[in-house]
Amino acid sequence: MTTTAIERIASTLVAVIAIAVLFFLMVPLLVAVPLSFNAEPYFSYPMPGLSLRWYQEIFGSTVKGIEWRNAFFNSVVIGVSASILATVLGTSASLGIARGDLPFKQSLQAMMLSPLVIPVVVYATGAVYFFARVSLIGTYPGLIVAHALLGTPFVMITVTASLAGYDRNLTRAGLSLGASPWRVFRKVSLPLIGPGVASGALFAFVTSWDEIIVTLFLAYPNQQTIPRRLWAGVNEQLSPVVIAASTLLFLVTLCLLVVTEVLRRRNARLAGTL
Amino acid sequence: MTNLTKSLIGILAVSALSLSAMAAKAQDSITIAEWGGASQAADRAAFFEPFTKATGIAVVDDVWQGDMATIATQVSTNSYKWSLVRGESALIKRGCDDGILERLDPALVGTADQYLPGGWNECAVAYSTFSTNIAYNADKLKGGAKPESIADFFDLGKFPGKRAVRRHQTYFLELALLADGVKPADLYKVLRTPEGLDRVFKKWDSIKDQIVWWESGSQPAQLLADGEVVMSTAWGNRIVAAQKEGKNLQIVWDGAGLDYDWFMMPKGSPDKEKSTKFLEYILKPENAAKISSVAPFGPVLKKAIPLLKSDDIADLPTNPANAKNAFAFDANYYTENDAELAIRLANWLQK
Amino acid sequence: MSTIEIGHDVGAATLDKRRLERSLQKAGRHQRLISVSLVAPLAAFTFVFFVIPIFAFFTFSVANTEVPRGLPLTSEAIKEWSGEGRPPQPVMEALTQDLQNTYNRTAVIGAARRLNYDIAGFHGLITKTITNLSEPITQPDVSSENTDVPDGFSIFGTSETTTTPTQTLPKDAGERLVSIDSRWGEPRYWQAIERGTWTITPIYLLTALDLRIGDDGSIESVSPDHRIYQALILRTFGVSAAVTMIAVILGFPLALFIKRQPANRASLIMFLVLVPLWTSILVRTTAWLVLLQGEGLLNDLIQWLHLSDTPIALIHNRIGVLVAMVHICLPFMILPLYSVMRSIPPTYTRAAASLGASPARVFFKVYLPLVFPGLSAGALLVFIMCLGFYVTPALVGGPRDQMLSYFIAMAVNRDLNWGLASSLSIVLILIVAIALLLLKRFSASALAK
Repeated sequence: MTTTAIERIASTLVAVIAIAVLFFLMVPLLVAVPLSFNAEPYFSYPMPGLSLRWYQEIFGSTVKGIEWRNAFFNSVVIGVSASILATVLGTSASLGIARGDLPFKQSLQAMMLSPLVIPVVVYATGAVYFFARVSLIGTYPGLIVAHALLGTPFVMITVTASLAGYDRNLTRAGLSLGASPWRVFRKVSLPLIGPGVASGALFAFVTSWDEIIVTLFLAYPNQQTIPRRLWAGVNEQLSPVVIAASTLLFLVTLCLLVVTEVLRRRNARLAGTL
Repeated sequence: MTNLTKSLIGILAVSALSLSAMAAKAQDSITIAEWGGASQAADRAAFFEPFTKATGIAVVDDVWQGDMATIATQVSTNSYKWSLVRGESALIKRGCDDGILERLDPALVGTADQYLPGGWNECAVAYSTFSTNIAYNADKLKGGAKPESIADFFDLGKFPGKRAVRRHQTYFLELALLADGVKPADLYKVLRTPEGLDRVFKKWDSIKDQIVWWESGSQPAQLLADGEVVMSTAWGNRIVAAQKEGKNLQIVWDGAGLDYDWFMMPKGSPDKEKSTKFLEYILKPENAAKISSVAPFGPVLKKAIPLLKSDDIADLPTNPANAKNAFAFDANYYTENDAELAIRLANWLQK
Repeated sequence: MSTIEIGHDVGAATLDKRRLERSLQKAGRHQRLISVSLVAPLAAFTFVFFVIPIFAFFTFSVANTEVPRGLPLTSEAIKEWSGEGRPPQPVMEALTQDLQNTYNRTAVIGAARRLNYDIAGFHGLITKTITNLSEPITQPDVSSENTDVPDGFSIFGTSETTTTPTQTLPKDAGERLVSIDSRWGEPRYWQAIERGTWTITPIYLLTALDLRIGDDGSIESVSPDHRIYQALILRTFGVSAAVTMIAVILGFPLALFIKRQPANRASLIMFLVLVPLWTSILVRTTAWLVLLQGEGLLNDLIQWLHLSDTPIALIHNRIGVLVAMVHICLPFMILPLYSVMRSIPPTYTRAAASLGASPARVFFKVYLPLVFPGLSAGALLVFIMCLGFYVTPALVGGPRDQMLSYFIAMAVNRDLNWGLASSLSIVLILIVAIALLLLKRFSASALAK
């Protein structure tokens, strides 16, 4: 049959292109990561030898090492704080929206999701002026607020998605049995939407962890973050230290990705059982 | 879930604590914005570290690219990122005229006769001489010929390949005119005529598609070392620093542009007292002379000059024995025309 | 709780319909209050720290305060001027006084910068006039100092300092200004000052579209060598569209391929797609820099394969920008495509095929329309993302590959031109808004099907 022959050719073609595209997606990381173990400060293969010297520079006790660790510490503090802020605000708002009786629901929702679509440079430029006027520029709270803002839409999306499979009769049952609303939230709602909240928190963390544009505009020299150091590194001098730091950053996000994947599966399982 | 609550509270507490710790740490320091790379490292070795040792005031580095607008924004919104900023003569003159720089105590800066010619300003302290040059990588040149003059920079036949040029009007203008046969002494006379500027852009048009633009001072040495370009405009000291790292980069001394580096203070800076201490420190002749021992920079303070080793003077780009056909940047020209020049260059780049 | 009370009321004989309604309303209000108070924190947070900053920033596009602030006397005096010919003596006098006011210097320079946006060269004209109006102060004599300058530093003696003309200036203010620079005799410079006193100004929005106010007061195109923003808007649009197209072409087969795999392998491949999505844009851009450099890995490969003898320029140009941007956007194309494909029962296409349709016909007439919602959603998502790109073009592109975001940042950081930055932002937001409306329409019509 010619039809199946054509189909076979078509599906082989699709497979070839698909594998090439997958390769394209993975290749920069696969190629760049090993270069961080290069003994020489060049970016070419074959590598003359392997060494950990670039990692030693990051973990060593030199001024540079201290700066890298300082930046790492800043990134974690800002990321965790922004993530907590975004998660609390985003979860609460999603719960409010899911109740279905909110006035101006459409416009409020659009406003709260707008950080997702407004180009970050536009926000960063506007924020410079505003944050300077309210003395938040160049401060940790200022950066945390701005990063949290960029993260809240992700929290809203993941929590809303997990609320979609949530039966509100469970809350009503809890309330009618005499539990306080806070107790119902903690004992009934949160365990059910927990995975959604957690993956929203992770998204918010990663948003802050990788954020560079707002940081470039709002952060002062005391608030070095890892992306800022990478930006300076790429602009100034592309040394293997930058690749080593990128590799570390990559490993952190990889771990987080595995965690979200686990959470997603758990979420799917919970949704399946209820 | 109580575990989750507990750990959340724990994380919050840790964040709050570390925030206050950072705030406390930041108290006894000043922030100095410089141009990154080797020249910043030189200042760190010559001034920042000894200054911190002597006074206990830490110096936090930042990097900028000469955008005076960022200083103006800090002043107008009363939110200060930088205590002191390093910049060349044109920048400090413009900043002073625009009123965004603190006028320094006359007792601190002294009088013009204590400095090299043109090295005095009421808003800033000149502390080092530097040169802008063209440079090449001797290991990557194919064939025997080596670039010797400014004209070689524009000669694609003799030296095929990309050139890196700073995406900025300074040196860009002078380089084209020098290559076009203008005498160093006449540069700014020609530039002040409309035809002069047309000449500049016409000259650059001839090699425009071979140009890689750089913005950060560390890029030229990197681009040359990687073989991305055959020649580049560069700050001389960066090339010397790359030589010390074992790279075979060479400076073409023809048509060097010379200028001073200054420290300026944004107007209304809350760190004025500490910054003044720093300026006092670098204005002591024995401290001012230190810069020449770590990098090819010369002091501007006359009293520091006799303290230099003769070797160090011989290596300085300002030495006429080194810099042939050299010129000094005209800060007045740039103050008057900078806004127009920036726009003209930006427009030309988009064509 | 309230529902139970209502139940009692219903049971009671003295049923009051109005009371029931009120009670229901009260219960509804109470419930709504809970919803509002749950949403309020984030709504307020977003409003204060996101909406207000952006709208405040947008007002800069028409703000016009610099000239009245920098040249207060002139702004007052110029109201009396008809706009024709040379302005009367009091205006000239006022300007001379404004420019000599050293206490207001920062504002004067601000006004000069603002006027320069209207007529190029105005900034230089004002600084020149200020210098010439000020009394020639006794400058420290530098030429005589050169004797004690050691040899290694003598070069700095050759630089000429300001040549302030020392001839006495005319007493008459107008004559004096014109003798400093003949441009003060041209009405258009005074017209620009007059435009600077308007409550709001259109010049920034006009500039963002390569338009200006002509000498006769009408709106005209700027001269060709100043025309850059129309091309920039088109470029932003074009690069985004090109990246979207490539992402569709590359993403479609991959999504199709994943869908055809057994579940376990499919989730493994999805994981591989998600890894780059989660990796920092900076990290990925850095990786591309390493790969695409002239002496980079890809060029090594090309030369090793003898495809070309000289390195091919892959970076600091459009190729580099497109490659890196496609790499970043591709997962956002694949995710919606894959989720739509997964929801299409294979029975549909099988039914069409069993009815005798050719594979091509099945694909184009049955499969593609079914996938279209995912395709359009992914494409518009990618397109909207691309419009705002800043980091990647800045790091791997050349000057002619930069997009709107770069110019917005540049206008603020280099030129202090908040008006232009704001106008370009408005243009960018408008393009995004149009794309969003399209997205909404497409997904709505897709749902309607």
